[in-house]
Amino acid sequence: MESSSENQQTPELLFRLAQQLSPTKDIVQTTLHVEGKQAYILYLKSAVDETVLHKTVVKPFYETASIDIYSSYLDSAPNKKELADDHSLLIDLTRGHVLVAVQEHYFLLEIRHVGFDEVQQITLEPTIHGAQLGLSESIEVSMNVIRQRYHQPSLVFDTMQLKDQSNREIALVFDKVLVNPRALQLIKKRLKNLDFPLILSSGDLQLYLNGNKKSLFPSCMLTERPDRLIYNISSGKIIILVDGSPHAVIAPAVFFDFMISMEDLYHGYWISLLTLFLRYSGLFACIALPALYVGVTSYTPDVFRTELALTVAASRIGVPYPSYIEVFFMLIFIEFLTEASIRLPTAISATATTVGGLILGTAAVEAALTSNIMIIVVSLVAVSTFVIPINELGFAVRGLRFILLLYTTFFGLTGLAIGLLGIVLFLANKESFGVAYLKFGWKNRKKELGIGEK
Amino acid sequence: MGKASRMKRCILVLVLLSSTILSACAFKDIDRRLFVSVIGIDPAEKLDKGFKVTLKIAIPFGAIKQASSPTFAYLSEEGETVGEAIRILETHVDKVLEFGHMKTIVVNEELLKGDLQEFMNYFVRRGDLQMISYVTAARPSAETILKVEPNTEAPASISFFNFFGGTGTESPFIVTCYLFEFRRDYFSKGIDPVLPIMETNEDKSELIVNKSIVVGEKGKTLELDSILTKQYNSLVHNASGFSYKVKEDGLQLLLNIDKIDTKFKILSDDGRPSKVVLTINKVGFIGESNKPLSPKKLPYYSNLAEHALKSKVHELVMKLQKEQLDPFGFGLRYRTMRLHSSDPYKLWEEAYPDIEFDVVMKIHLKSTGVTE
Amino acid sequence: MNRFLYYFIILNLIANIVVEVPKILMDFSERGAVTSIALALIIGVALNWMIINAFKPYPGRSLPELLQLYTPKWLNKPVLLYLSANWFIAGLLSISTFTLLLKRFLTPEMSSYIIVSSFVFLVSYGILMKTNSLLNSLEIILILNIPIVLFLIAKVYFDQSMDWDYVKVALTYVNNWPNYSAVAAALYPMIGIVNIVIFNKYLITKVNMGLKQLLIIFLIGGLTLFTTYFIPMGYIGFGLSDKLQYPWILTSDSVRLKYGLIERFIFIFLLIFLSLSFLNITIHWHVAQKLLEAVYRTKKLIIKGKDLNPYLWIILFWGITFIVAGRMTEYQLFLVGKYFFNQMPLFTAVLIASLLLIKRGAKKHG
Repeated sequence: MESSSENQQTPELLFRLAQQLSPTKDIVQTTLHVEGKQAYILYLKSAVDETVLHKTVVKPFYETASIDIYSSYLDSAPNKKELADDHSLLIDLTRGHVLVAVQEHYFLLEIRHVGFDEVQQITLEPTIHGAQLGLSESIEVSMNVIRQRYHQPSLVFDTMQLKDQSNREIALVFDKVLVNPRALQLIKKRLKNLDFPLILSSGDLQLYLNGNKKSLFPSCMLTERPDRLIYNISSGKIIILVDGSPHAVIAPAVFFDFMISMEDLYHGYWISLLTLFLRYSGLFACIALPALYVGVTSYTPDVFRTELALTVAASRIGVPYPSYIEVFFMLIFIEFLTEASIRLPTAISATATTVGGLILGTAAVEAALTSNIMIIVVSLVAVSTFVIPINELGFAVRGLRFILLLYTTFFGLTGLAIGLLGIVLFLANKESFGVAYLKFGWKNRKKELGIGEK
Repeated sequence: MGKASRMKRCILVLVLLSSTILSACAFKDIDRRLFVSVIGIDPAEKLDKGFKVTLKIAIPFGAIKQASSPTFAYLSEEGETVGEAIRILETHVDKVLEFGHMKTIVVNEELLKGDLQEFMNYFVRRGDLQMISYVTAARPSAETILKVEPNTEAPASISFFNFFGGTGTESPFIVTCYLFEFRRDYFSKGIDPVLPIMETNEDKSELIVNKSIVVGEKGKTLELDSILTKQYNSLVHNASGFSYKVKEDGLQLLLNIDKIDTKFKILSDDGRPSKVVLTINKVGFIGESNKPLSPKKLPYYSNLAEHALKSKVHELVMKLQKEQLDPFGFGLRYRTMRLHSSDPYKLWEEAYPDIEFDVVMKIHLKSTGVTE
Repeated sequence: MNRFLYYFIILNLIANIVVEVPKILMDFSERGAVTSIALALIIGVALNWMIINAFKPYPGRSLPELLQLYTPKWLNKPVLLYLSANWFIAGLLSISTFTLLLKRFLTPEMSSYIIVSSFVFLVSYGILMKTNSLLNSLEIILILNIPIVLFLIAKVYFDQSMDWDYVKVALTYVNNWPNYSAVAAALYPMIGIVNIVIFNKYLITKVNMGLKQLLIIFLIGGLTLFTTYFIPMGYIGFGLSDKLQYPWILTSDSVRLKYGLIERFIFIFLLIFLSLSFLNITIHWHVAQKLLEAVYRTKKLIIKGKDLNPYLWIILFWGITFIVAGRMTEYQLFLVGKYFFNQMPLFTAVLIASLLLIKRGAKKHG
């Protein structure tokens, strides 16, 4: 877009923009001039890498012979951007662009300075083998991380800007050959229609993309592991990177994705099979155990072996509450403990767990507020929750077991069995960007089922 | 979307609310239940007709590890039927009587001579009773047996259960009969169930199980002493740990048999069953002897044992035949050999009293034990 | 063949091992059960062959759509209504029997209404599910359960207390003529394939049936029917089982897991078969609802772009279920089940006749 202002002291566009940006103090508006050559520069000091600016914009100004050569130098700069309207110009300035006016031409150059562009250590999903460094908070570096691990010409970075207050840049990353076109279309549509005032990081972007904000189970996955990203790109999924967030969103995510740890791929067949088995039995235990305890002790004690029944009955002597209240309280207590140890600094959290877990637990049994068996059940549940590799699913499961507990309290073991089936039905009915959330995959599956959907 | 999910939620809340009101009755904590572990049935003493039911209830004890022996409570009541007596017993305790862990039914020996239909019915009809509970006969009475608390009993374990089913002790003298087996064989034509007999010693500190009783139709019973019990058990249930003493010419051998394989065949003559051929294969070794043995002479020892054992088995089947009892199920087998329309069981019933038995005993001794 | 078709067949076979069918067959054990089973097996396999091949030319089409296209309107509505009633009653019977079963064996003190509601609530969710998702859950639940079912059945087969002589005695009754009721009862588990009428919409290819598939169905069906009828004999005894309401439950209680996590086999057995029956009920009612929707559908219930028609049917289903399942006694239920099985041949006849009509109609249309 051409500006109406002519060759004056300060070009009007620069002046206008500077006025709109004030009173911020980090605005820099200077004029370079030598021997009749003149150039005007406008940028925000806090967003621009000044050394680069000096090297690529200021220095050449003095070194070039004529103003025409300089302007064609700027014109051919690789980091040059097209000019748009005032509003987007302002946003570009806040993101580290430099506006240069030479004669009647304007050049917008991207000279960003990102103070947080180091690649970060992986903390959430550590593995023994596999990558130790994750993504960066800077989107360019993150894109670099991905590109350098997946050398395929078909890898596409589709960058766009969020339309909220933060105006952050996001990038869709996918392999255009392998990508699931329907999911891509859906994600683009959802991103376009996204209408939230402020998006803070990939975490909440993921929630808004979900479509259904109240869903218990996550339908996108957050990860910081580049190997997981590559693995998912190569299986046709779409990655969303958000500038300033070290986590990437993986978009159609189905249930089984949440049960895979990257480590599984680095182990031998039997070992990963074993860990997978452990993980699923952990999942089952942490969902069903509390409900099972209530169902068995309060409805059908015949299920136990006689010796066990007597032991359980003995351990419940003197406990004043019915089993479901006992379980409910103990579960809440464990949730407190987990929550506290997540939020507290590591040094204190150890104390919290010791005090909470050991001392309170023993005291509760001594005071006959709860039974020994209950303590075992609850600890087992807490431990097995941590077996789930992805946190989001872990949170969902924590919620789920209360629902199952409720159902079992009302309907006994029947309720437990039917409730478990209900969970399967519920998960199978859920969709993540057009992909069924829970289903078995096998070859030729598409041929046999499903295109009939309109 | 919003409306539908709100509707769904409303339905959910309604259903859950309604169930909280209703479900209050079914919810019963485990410490509000009393676990009946053994039930004993005797003939009624006060009533003319009826039963005396005794329940042995295991009481959960606070600290099991510290307790030295289990604690039991006993309840007795008489009633015209078993169910009636139990209904009355339910009013004698403050907690719910839970029959799901009742694993042994002890029946007074005298009752077996009457019609079992009446009280058997009760056990099969009740849904919460285990079909895998053991049925035993008691001498002198079920109540006395029930009240025995053996010295070897550990807390939270009930010795009545450990005797049977190979749970604890495994002895060829102990016959195990599950409730479903008893019912099946008692009511079926062509086979009769065998129950173990439980006895106690004089100071009532031990339970003794080494005899058994064959329960036939119409109150026909036959007691098998320990030796015959052992024979029966080894033939029908292939009971392991079977040992047998052979005495011949001053030579005394104790055989330990590990593997027993019994087959029987019924031969027909003229469309009538004429002969039962029992083929018994036993594999074992010599466990004890009063004289030095030579491995070379193993076939000879085997031969000796074959003769001795054969006559014992013969004695057993002849005794059973005399009483017209059939715990082996020869009659049942004969029924499978012909189409039902020729009424094979009638033929069998007629032929059984004078049918011939041919026992083929093959003993294969593998070694003379650790020493020669 | 499309594997979902196998799922339908297998699910219906397994889900019917436990209740009603064995009971009815055992009632006829001295009056031709053996020959009836053999006859039902042959008829069942033939029916499978006919139905699958009838749907083969119309991939991605359900029965209501086909009827609408190729048959006159006055005919297709009553037919659909009759068929859907059958599906509904099939589900209703399963719910009612399982309610009584659970009341007797698992939670004796619980009121029938509560047990029914524990079912109905989630079954309704299953009805409302996308058909596609229901197929996915069918696959998952079936594949998770089948190994356990196989283990349970194997355990029953190879347990020491199993007395095969009784099975052989049952076989000596082979020289009786088949009985109509027994054939109908043994046929019922075989025709799980009928669910194709709705699910065919989502089954695109490989809906075909050759000799190999025929053989597989014959084998699976034969083995299951054999297990259903003969195996309980080995535990309950021959000729005594007619006094029992639930022969298979008693059978499962006769097996002891000496070193198992749970000693009593019956609980695992009950819960596993409960889940499979639950799945079968969900599928029955899903089909019933879809068929009903093709019969009657009002625009009035489309509120704010959301179709509330299914809810109408669900409320109807709930009402009937609470009245029936809450009140019926075991004997009444048994009788109703028997009548229902007795009219199954009519059901299959109507289904096949309508498929033939479609074929004729399609020919006319060119």
